[in-house]
Amino acid sequence: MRTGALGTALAGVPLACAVLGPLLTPLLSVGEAAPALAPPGPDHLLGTDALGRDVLVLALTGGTTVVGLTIGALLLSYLVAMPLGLVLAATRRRWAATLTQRVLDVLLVLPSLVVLLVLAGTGRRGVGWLLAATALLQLPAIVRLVRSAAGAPSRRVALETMAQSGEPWWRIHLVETGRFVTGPVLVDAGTRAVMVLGLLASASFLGVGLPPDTVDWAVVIEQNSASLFLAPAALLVPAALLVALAAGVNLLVDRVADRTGAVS
Amino acid sequence: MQMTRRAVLGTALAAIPALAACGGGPGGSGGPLRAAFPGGGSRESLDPHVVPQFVDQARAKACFDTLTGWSQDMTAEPRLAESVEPDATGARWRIRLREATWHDGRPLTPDDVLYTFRRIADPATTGSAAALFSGVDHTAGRAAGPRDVEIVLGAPDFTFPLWLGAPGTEIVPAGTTTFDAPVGTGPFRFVSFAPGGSARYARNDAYWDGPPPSPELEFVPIDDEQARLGALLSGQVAYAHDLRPASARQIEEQGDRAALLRAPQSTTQFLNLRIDRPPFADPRLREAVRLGIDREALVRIVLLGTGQVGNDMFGGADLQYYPADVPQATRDVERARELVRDAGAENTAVELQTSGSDPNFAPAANLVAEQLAEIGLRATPRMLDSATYFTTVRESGVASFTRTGTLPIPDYIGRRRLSSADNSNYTGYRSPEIDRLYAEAVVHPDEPARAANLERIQTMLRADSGALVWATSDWNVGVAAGLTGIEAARPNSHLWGRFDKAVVG
Amino acid sequence: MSAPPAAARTPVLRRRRSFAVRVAVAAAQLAAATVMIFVLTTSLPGETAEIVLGPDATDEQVRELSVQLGTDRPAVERFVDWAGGALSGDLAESLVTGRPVLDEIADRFGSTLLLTGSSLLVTIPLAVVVGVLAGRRPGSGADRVSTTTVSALQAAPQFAVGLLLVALFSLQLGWLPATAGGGALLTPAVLVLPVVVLVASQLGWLSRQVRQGVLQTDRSPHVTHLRRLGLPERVVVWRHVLPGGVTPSLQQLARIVEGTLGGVVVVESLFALPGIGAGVVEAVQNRDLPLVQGYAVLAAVVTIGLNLLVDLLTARLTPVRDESP
Repeated sequence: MRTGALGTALAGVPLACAVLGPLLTPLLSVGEAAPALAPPGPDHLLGTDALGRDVLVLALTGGTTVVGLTIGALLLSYLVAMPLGLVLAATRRRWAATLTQRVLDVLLVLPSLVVLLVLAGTGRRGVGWLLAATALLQLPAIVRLVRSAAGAPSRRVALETMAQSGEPWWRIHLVETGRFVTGPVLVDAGTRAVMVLGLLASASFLGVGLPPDTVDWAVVIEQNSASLFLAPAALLVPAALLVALAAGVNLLVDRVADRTGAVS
Repeated sequence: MQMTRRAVLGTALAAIPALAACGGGPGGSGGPLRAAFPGGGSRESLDPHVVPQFVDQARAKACFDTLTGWSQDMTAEPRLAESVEPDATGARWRIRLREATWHDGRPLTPDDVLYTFRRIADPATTGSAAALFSGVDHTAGRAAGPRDVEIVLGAPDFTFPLWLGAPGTEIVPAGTTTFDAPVGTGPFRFVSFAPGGSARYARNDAYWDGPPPSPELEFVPIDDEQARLGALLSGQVAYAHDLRPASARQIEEQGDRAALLRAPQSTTQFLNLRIDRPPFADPRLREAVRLGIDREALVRIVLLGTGQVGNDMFGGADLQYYPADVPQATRDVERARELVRDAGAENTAVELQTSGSDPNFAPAANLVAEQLAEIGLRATPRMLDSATYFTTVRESGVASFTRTGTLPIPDYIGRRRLSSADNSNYTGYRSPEIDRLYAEAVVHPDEPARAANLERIQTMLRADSGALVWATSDWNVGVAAGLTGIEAARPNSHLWGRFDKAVVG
Repeated sequence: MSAPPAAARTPVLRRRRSFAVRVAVAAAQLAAATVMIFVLTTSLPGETAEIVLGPDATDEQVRELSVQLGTDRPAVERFVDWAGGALSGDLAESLVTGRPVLDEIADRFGSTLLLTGSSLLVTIPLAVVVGVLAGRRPGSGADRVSTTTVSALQAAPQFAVGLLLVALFSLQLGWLPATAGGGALLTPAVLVLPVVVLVASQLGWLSRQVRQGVLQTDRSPHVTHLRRLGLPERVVVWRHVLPGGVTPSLQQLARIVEGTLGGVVVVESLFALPGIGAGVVEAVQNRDLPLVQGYAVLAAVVTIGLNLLVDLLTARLTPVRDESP
């Protein structure tokens, strides 16, 4: 499947940058005290940006935060949402399940960017806050997904069979059902990764995401937005990496969905 | 369902002709002269006495006039006042008014001036220039003739003519309480205003300084700097205010569609070290930062070379009362590192506060952080919310970036550097000696003696106040190619934001 | 809620009862959301008076203005006042402009509706065409090219796409206007770039869903059987594959509308369009609490209404046995 290969390649390059970049940069010899917006040359293979930083170094080191944050936020929200969704799907107290879902749904009502805007306004703009807020905002949708996947009609027969054979409750509802919903959850995670990536990048652009001293692709784009024509690489290289990453993940998700028949 | 869909579609379609109607041509020939200003955070009123934003000041200037105006070197020039003369003590002033009429045809009278001064000083107005008129004895002032006003001050002040040119001192008709449809003496008459949207004005044919060539003037609020540049380059507006260095360079390089107006040394860029909070309560560390920052690199990299290296004093060398022959502050990494070591402060964490209030703050903070690392301080930039930035750094700042537009040096000291000036004190520095020197300076009828005091104050501020000046940056404005009659002007000067001589080419 | 238990067994009444429950729940959510927004915004440092007066205002001036605006009163008291007014349909006045919040929002609504409406009008048909073309021949060159393109566009941050388009078409070529200047410069041409940005970012969500649906229907035993029966391919595609493939995308539509509304925040800021998105950003920056609350109510009503609508549609389309969570 060439789509798969393309997806792997697209996502692979930025991911490699994010993971290996910080290890590689010490090997690059970067000239001291560079002028801002210098064109590409022997000292700086891709030139320098508006703050006089080497664009190649920025490209290699700027992925760690965004990739780490996206993965971290997703892990955090699935770690909370999966068990919660499974328990809600399994419980006999429907009113409790409905109530919990409704309370969570209040979060859906708040526009994500507004929450980040307010958070930044209160001065809480460290990585931890961003991680927690992003994870929290994903929660209701994931719980909903897990619940409905676990409650699928095709699943009911299997559940009854297991219950009759005397399996313990937690084994049926958490472990087995958990395994059952992994497929849709993985597809959802892929799609969600793209959304979270977009949210984090937009937040940084609006000035409410990562602090400006962070070397991060989105922050670098924002800092160089005024110098597209003076130093195109400083804007285009991080933008291309961000787009490639998200597009690659999207293609891989499509491929998984094609195979499993799950719908993203 | 069907009903709602049709209703929704109806609303959307109804909006289209409205869009087309308020479109009009580009900022160029035929249509109004369009000027783009950042408009965020504005109170969105046309009260000329409450002018915290540049767009407020420009709108006030289109419709109203001040008695005097500030020249580029910050001296008072006559505007609505033909002359402003003191008595021997400097406590009693006679202002002779120009023959001018309000937009409704009534003549300008001494009563208008007296009313305006009372209104500015009234706390309920929350006027931008209130502090300048707190010393005026409003009960003692009187009309001394059809065009003569006598003003009595509580205490002598020979710098009084300067105050009459400050932004927010526009003369309004006696009795005015609302500004929904303002009436002024200015070059343009009010036409319409939508809060958050544009303000439109039409030429005042009876303007005392000659009718403006442009029949219409429109102020368009565009917050995003790139959008302002785009609006200028795509011909939507003829004037784009406050552009950052990279955009200035782009206009210069592209050249054919727009021209750059660059007013040198217009904005003083400060790095404020709190002298009453750790770690900079230790004078050795303040001195270390002073020697540790590389001002030339900051100008080269952050300002792309479009500015002057700072020397820890406000304003440019051409300002009235700017002290000559103060040696330039230069970098000395060795000495700085030594001072940090002596203070036992190696690897002390320092937070450098910045915000988006000025596009140069964040890049400057990033660079300063790197430079301070070389002298052994662990500085980290921290971006704060722009809306509340100045209050935040006043209350909890340690090392913060601020900027101040050009002002007359007596105004800068009088409103921002005396012990009484809480609101713009970002370093916690207060000096009774400076208060005394200033009070003595303003009562001095003798110009050189006054200058000596003011210069002495500035060297004291330079040495002790904790306010470092890393650069004085240019003020960049882009105008459409062929537009004439607008000069490069420093903010707050009377030529700045003035459109009554502008001609579209 | 008060329907007798016996009647509840008949499907229609049961549906009606569940609708009533949903509306009640929605109202409770709305109330919870306004409390949350109020707590969030009052926790912001700074207040309107000090923001609108600027950094040079004295402390006395700030105090004076906050007394004039009434923001010196305790937060709880202000919320109770606001909630009381809101219950009777009065959303109070903006602190900055002094105009009624409803007027402020109504002024901005047209622009946002036009922007989102135009982009949905482009997105939906385009997504169906792209999705069907790709889903009919999975793995073909056309599929790979279109899916990759659409994925890349969907994934690209809106602000980056917007910046690049402005740089190219406004700054460099000078073909299209760069900004609406807060409404002052709003012409139909100004909408082109924002609509392109929104379409680019939303197209993928729908077209990939359509592709998936078409692909699955195309391979389903039902369609295979029809083909085996010798029905003309045209009939199979138009009568069976298309409807079967597109219907599941209905659910995605709510997400698209929400996504478009979310994208509006970025796009309106970027192009200075006088819409809801830019209004929210501005209201938060100015700490204009009544206005922020007004927008929160609007956002909540739209989101809750949309979900209610989708749920009802789904319930209508599927048999009664479905008990959605």
